[in-house]
Amino acid sequence: MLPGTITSLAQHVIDRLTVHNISKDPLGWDGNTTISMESDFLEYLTRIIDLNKKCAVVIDSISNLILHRGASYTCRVLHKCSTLQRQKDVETSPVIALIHQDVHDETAMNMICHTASTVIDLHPPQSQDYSGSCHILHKKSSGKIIKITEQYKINRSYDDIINVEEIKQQFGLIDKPQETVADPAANLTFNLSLSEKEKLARSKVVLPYIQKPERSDVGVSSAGSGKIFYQPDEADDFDEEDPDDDLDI
Amino acid sequence: MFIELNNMCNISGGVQIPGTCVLIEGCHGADSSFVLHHFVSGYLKSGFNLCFIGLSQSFNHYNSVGIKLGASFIDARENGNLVYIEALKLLGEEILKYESETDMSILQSSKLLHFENNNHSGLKKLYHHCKYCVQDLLTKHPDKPLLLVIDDVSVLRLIGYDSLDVIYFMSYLRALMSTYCGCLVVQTLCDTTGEDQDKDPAVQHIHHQSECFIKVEALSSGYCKDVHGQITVCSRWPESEAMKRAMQYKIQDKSVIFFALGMSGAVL
Repeated sequence: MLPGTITSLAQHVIDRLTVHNISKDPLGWDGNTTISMESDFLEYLTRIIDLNKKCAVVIDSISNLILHRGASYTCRVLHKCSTLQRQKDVETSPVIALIHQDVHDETAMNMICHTASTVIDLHPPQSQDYSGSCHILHKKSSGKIIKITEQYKINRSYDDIINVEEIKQQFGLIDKPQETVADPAANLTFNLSLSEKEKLARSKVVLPYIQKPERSDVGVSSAGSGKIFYQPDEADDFDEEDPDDDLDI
Repeated sequence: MFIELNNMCNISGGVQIPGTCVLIEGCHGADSSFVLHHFVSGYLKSGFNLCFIGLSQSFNHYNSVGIKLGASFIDARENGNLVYIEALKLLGEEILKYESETDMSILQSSKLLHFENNNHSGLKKLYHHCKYCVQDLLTKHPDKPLLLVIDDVSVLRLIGYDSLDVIYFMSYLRALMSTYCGCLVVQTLCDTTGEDQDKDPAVQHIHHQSECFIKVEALSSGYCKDVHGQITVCSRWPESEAMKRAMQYKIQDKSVIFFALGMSGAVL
């Protein structure tokens, strides 16, 4: 915990606050410490949390705990904090923990995020008027998931958030610029396009290679037994004895 | 001591708010030690208390730079304002002591493993020595501001200490300073030229814990004779607004010239 941050809080807050400072002597080098990074936190929590009162637990920060004892142990500590009071049917109160994302690997971060019911991810501000922006992911007990992105401003003395505004996602609102393709048939001296009437007339034209339905029936019945009927014209001079008479050899 | 740097860091009167920490990060290609000397010479000139943990340079080096800036380390040490801790010597002694105490046959079979298991002892001893020195300084000059300087903390990582050990060592020093109302100035060097862009978790952690972060880097466009680099200061002192400023600088013989980005005399 950053030294000196507690003293800047209001007096009525300090009165209700109990600080368990581990950062001052995390490994017991100075001696005379009741808790160090090596001690059993699960047991320590059951000892310090008063189950008859509504009590919030704030941890600043769990990064040290993850580095020292591993992410899975930290998850167990967080889970223990949140479930301790539930056992006694006391209205549950929050467990708030700070984590420095860039100190840990992705696996550890994912584990902690899965344990938490709300993840507030802080980022630099998107505009100069604000102190920062945050992505909030809240998993309700009903199963509903809420995702919001907000930006906020903190006052000069760092004790109040004075302006919160939601950043609306801008997807779909921006119109795609219409692609203007030049029409080659636009400025011609002759007419290339058809009117509705002309189109209708065109659709009625029977193209020469399309068989008419009646004709197709005939075609089906005669399929397989091809015959050539030849009716000689009057002009045809056909001599059966000399079929090659007409050839000029 | 450079007055402009104080303005950039939003430090009034050259003295930081007690219990705060300043992290100076020097990147590859730029020398950030002028920022460290700025704080050190400022404290020594005013006759304030200074505890210096030297890991990268010798006492004589710091003394010569100090004399150039008008603050002699030798005089300050004689007056009882300065304690210089040769950290590498102390840590080395601890390793040698450990080796002589342990059975050599065990050591040879799994030397590294044993050293790792006992890794804290050196830093623990260093911390206790710092604590003793700080108490000693304050008994001589109890009413003067106190500064603890480490140059540089990345050496601890290089000589084999785990990042977690460094984090704990730093949090002990921070707690010490918060107890005795002193300030902490930490210098670290980071090499971002390699392919591995991931920063050391220890440095990231100190960054999160410090109220002022000063980054000194070389120009992205390459070496320039008239602009030596760029300095970025991010400060969030208690009860004042968070600020971020970037300037370019040129180091001269006894001073440093600062100018806005791209506004150097050589450019205009």
